[in-house]
Amino acid sequence: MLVRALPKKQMRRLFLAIVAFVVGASVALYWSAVTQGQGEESASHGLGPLDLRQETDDLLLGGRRVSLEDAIATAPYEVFRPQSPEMGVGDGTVEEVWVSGDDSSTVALKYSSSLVAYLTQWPAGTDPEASYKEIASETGVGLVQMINGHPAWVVAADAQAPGFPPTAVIDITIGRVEVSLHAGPETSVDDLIKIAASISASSAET
Amino acid sequence: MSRAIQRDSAWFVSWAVIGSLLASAAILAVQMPSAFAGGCPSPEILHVLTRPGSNSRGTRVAEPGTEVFNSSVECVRVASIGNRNSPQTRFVEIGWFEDPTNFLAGCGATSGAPTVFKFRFIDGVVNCTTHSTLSAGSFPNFRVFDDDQNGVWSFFHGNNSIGTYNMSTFVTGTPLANGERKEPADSARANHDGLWRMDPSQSWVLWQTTSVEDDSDPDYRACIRSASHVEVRTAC
Repeated sequence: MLVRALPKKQMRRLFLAIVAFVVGASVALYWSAVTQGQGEESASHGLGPLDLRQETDDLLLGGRRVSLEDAIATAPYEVFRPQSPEMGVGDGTVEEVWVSGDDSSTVALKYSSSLVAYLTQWPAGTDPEASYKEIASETGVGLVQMINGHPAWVVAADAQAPGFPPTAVIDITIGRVEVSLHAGPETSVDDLIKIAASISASSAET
Repeated sequence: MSRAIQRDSAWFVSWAVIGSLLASAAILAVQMPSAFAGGCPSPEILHVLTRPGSNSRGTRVAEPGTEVFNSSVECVRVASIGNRNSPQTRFVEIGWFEDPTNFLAGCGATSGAPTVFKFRFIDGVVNCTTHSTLSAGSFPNFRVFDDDQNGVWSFFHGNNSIGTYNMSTFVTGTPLANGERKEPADSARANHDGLWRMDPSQSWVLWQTTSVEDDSDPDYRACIRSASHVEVRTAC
């Protein structure tokens, strides 16, 4: 009724004012959305860790780079390795092999897919499956399950602490040897389980 | 005709400006609280780590201990000791910290006083607990160790156990002393006097051949007063 009562000239002004108001508000909202997006990106670094680690490309601090054959020869246990060609993981895709400096008690294997496997040995008297259950209980993170009959602690990438890269991890124990598999962001936890399942005692043979 | 267009244009621009100003004011009103909430606008890992020449089953600071400083903290300040494995996938840590904005994962905010904490990092998963508060100028003792190498690390503040963490196959590693902050506005000063490591016979022995493990802080450096006494300061 009010609009009808207005003269034509004022009608045009009212229309222009509404359009102008909407355009102005839209520009402001768009600009805010753009700058807020930038803010969220830096805020995603939000919560952070206490960190006793150092930046390095070395797979093992204080360790040395060796050939796969040397690692197999010097490690005090069988160097179990995944053999999963369909996942691009096998001896042919190993890019780096490291052993710890003191007694080769830790072996690290880096694959072209960015998967890294760390091998260590359980101390005498420990129960790997019970330890995994205790860690899962303490942390409230991950599942303990059997993979090919071997106990494993399976941690999905989104369980990683804030400030750390989203990396799926599986710690699986074969005999007394733990193979800790750390996947790159392109590997899902389901694929990592398939990789873990490809580890067997026979895979240590060269 | 042209005058009418000019008037309409001015009218349009005026209302467009009014619209954008009102929208901006509304956005600012909504965002204002969060704009002033954070004390960690550009967090970085700024730490100075020192280590002895040998690996061990544990790390201890005692006789006298780690000095407590109570400064104004905007983001995070930490003075701690710990033990870390060679792949850097697992470590244990104990000491005191301040974190008034609850920046650190899992630890909870502190409320104005340096606070004892214990921390565990295993394959990217963390746990943190906080304990008693400390007085400036005191030298509390801390130790963290896995003496019988069963993967279970014990944490002590003085003679009081503050718990254990199961660390799987991690039973020996690099002892570390740490002064850390996340923002350049804060202090990373630390004074670890009386650094010990646990040898294979489960005895505590003083650090020897101490060196800098890592210094990612452009303003602070390790002042190695002796092999078992390390300060983190801006100048030695």
